[in-house]
Amino acid sequence: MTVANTAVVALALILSAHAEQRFADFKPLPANQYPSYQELQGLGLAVVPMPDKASQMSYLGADLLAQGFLPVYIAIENRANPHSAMLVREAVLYGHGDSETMSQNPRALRPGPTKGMDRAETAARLWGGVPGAVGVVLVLHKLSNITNIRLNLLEKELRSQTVAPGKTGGGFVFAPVMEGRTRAKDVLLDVPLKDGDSNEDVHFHFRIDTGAEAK
Amino acid sequence: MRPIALSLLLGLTMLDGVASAQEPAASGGKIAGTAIVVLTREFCTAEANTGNRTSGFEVFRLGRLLCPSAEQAVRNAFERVIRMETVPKPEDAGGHLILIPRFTDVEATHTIVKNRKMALLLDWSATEPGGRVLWVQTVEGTAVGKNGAHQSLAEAVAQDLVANSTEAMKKSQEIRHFIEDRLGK
Repeated sequence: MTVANTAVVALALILSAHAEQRFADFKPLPANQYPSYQELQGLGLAVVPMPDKASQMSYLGADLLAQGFLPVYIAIENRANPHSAMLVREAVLYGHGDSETMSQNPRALRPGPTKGMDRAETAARLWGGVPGAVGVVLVLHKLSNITNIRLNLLEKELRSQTVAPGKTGGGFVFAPVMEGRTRAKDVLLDVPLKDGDSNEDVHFHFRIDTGAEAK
Repeated sequence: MRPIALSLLLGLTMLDGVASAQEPAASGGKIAGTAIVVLTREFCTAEANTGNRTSGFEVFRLGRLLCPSAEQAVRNAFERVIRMETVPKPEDAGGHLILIPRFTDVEATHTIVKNRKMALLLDWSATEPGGRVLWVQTVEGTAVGKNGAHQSLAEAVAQDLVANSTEAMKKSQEIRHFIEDRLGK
């Protein structure tokens, strides 16, 4: 075994000892307790942006906003609709500020093309900036965290779900906030819930301030 | 040595047992009805990559696991099951519930990580023969392996996915209502 290989194996063993990272569970309030709450046809929905670094690190394990993504928890309640409501994850759209077009909610690795930035690319960006040979240990160490982070993001992100009358649901989306090299002032979210009886979509629209200075 | 080669080497040298992260769903009675499960060629041959350029990529031939797993999940949930490769036309569906699985995502910690974990997401949709969607649900399968060996880890994930998918179908009041309506209860 070469010196280089020995070094890599040693690093790997060090890495494996530090690989397990714990993340806090996000426990949302009832949707109607958030300022963003909207109710349509007996269905309630709120968005909960998570712009602060401390919360992102605690719940998600990474400062995603610094990498161009605003975590937003979507809280769903079927309060008074007599039928189940369905959320299809791919139907959630995002846009920026004054944009007239909306893109598919970016998310996970899956076959076929994905629009926008996906979770894998998000994760890749997190450790991609460590420069030079000195960065090898850091890269490997971060890599172990990143793979753990990726699992954590997978488990916490919004999934397709059916919300029966009286029930709740939810999950995180990771909305891209960059317009070129600057952060957009607003992120727009279009969250449709499909009525289980008519199969018609009930659209909830939100404008979320990213905290960026106005251009 | 390329990262992926290192990963595989370490994975093999540290090969150990794999255990499902969750207990199987309680085996209650099956739903007294017939379901059509649509397992397309695309679904049954699906592959997915995890990892990245630095850690190396792993290719999971998920279709081989998911195709029989999805069918088993439906067979565990319903008394009678018809397997099809394409979504039937309304007139060919016999009035039965149609279940369609779709691979969504897979993620795994690196092969060198102790207590390696893998998670896989499968989207299920249930529709009436006419196309009206009754139920959608993303189901997760997870497993933790003490070390490497991605194929055995994937198999454990598939087992967990079967149990969780069956449980999700049995718990769905939308599916039960459809079956009860069809049976005239």
